Amino acid sequence: MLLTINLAIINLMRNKKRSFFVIASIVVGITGGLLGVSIGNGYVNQLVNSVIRFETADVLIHENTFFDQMEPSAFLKNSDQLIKSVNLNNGINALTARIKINGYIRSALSSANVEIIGVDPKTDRLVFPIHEAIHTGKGNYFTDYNRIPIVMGNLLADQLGVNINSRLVLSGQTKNGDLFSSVFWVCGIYSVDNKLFEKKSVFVLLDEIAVLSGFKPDEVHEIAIKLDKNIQSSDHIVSALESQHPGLKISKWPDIRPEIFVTKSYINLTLNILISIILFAISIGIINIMILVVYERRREFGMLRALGMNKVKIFQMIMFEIIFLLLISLFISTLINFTVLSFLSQNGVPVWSVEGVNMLGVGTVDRIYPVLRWQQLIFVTGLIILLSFLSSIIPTLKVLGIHPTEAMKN
Amino acid sequence: MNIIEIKNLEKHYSEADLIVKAVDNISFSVKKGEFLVIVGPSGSGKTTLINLIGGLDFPTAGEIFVDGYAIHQMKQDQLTDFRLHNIGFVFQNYNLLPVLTAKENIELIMKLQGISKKECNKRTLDLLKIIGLSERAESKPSKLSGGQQQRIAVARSIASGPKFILADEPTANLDSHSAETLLDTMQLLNQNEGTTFIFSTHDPRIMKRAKRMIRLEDGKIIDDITND
Repeated sequence: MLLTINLAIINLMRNKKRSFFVIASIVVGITGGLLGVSIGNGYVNQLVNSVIRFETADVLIHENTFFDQMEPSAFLKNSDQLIKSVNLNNGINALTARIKINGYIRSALSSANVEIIGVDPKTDRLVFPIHEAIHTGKGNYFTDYNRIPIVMGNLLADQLGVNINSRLVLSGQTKNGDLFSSVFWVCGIYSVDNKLFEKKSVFVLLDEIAVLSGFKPDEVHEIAIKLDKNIQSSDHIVSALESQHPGLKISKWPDIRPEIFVTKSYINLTLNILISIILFAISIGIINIMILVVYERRREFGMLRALGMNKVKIFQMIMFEIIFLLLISLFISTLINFTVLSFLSQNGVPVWSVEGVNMLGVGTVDRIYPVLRWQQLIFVTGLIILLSFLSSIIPTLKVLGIHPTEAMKN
Repeated sequence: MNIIEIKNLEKHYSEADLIVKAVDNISFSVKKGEFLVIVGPSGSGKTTLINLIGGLDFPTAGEIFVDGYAIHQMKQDQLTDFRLHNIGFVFQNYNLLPVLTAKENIELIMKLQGISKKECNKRTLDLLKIIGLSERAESKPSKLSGGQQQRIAVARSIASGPKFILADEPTANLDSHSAETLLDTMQLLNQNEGTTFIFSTHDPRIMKRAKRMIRLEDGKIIDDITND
């Protein structure tokens, strides 16, 4: 085997320009593919993380019919008792109760449809880090205010032309289906990756909105649960809550934002197809080049067969040539990927350079931070090694088809 | 002692509706240490006969025994292994591996045979000395003349310790001086080492040196002359 390895290496060196271009094309293919995959991963991760961090937490509890009409009347009764009961489960880090009403907001300049979220800031900040998304100079998350406060997203504030302490009128539907309307003053302006959320969600104090919409102190629309960090999957807690509270709707983020779940699956599928196409193209390229190599060295292979080199050794020689090409390419592309991804995972890819992703319409981000999973790298490496075996079959069959007497001919 | 025995050997090819008898009912034997030349006009069946003796092609009928082994009954893989250990080849176009040095080309078959590195090295250096190319051991074939390349090819063929060497038109591409030098080398190996050579050729210089000459015409032996 040492001889065939040696011959394979020497053969790779015999046409350095060709080997260079083959390796370069494979490196570009693998690097481009993995970079595309990493950007896709990063986009999906950011969307999902943003949804979990700011919108859905790990688990949500609603009245069973809440999602049917999104009516204010579909609320949870005795929320205090419910929270105590839920809190008895292991793995729960924090809980918060919220009122959610679809409403309408007006400023002196403009207006918009919004989702009004009534929160208890003390418990809410333990579950949702909205307070961390309010930058210096942009107010606070209900820690310092004089008049009835409201916290809104930066995009919405821009749309309404308002700033800290600006006056707004918020309207919505009460528990009984009547309309309420009240004046609020901007207390904080937050900024998050999920621009759709930033544009539509406004936060007010739970007590204020409860009075305006006619809810009693222990009547809320949802209880959001944050799990302990060491909990890998929320499935068993969801199952436990479902059995403890059969009349309630227990949800995770894919139930609340199915479009993002579908997008995540779609992007993952697309990325797998992308990798497969790239690897397929690479293997076709290699087969093509190796067939050319075989054609060029037809006499040589015939001579080797005539001299007594058996089929196994011929196969080994071709296979090692391909394996070395791929391993060198894989090594170089891994180095490039590691360097590029280390930089981009810190600094992000400006979204204007991958503008198409925001056209998916499930959420928008300013900057994507690429992420490459080890499983994907191992998957690609494994596929490349498999492809090297498969790619060597056709050229080797061509070689084995060469009759030794070829070498004896003029 | 016969090293090759050929009995009623035939090789037919089909061309359209025509059957071409490239080798037509040939029988002869070759003794160890012979310096045999097969001659004849183009298309007489010389190369086909060499291919059959070398196990590179399968006969249509007849028997070929090499050192007692019935190679006409062997399968492709068995023949490949048999060639490796028993037959040396010298081709008209030298057929050295262009990426290997002269020394590496000579070592190639020994390495395929699994001979140790130390032994390979020793034998190669000895052979380079015999063929007078010790100083060109590290040269690539492209840096050697045709005659030098063919001498390397002879050294390669003999390095593996074959039962006999088949040489198909070995001097066809060489100038007169190179051809004489090559033949001197081969004759020396034949006389000193007892190596058996079988040539197919048109070259009168080889015919002149041959101990035995078989003349073919239309696939048949028309002459078998031993030159004492």
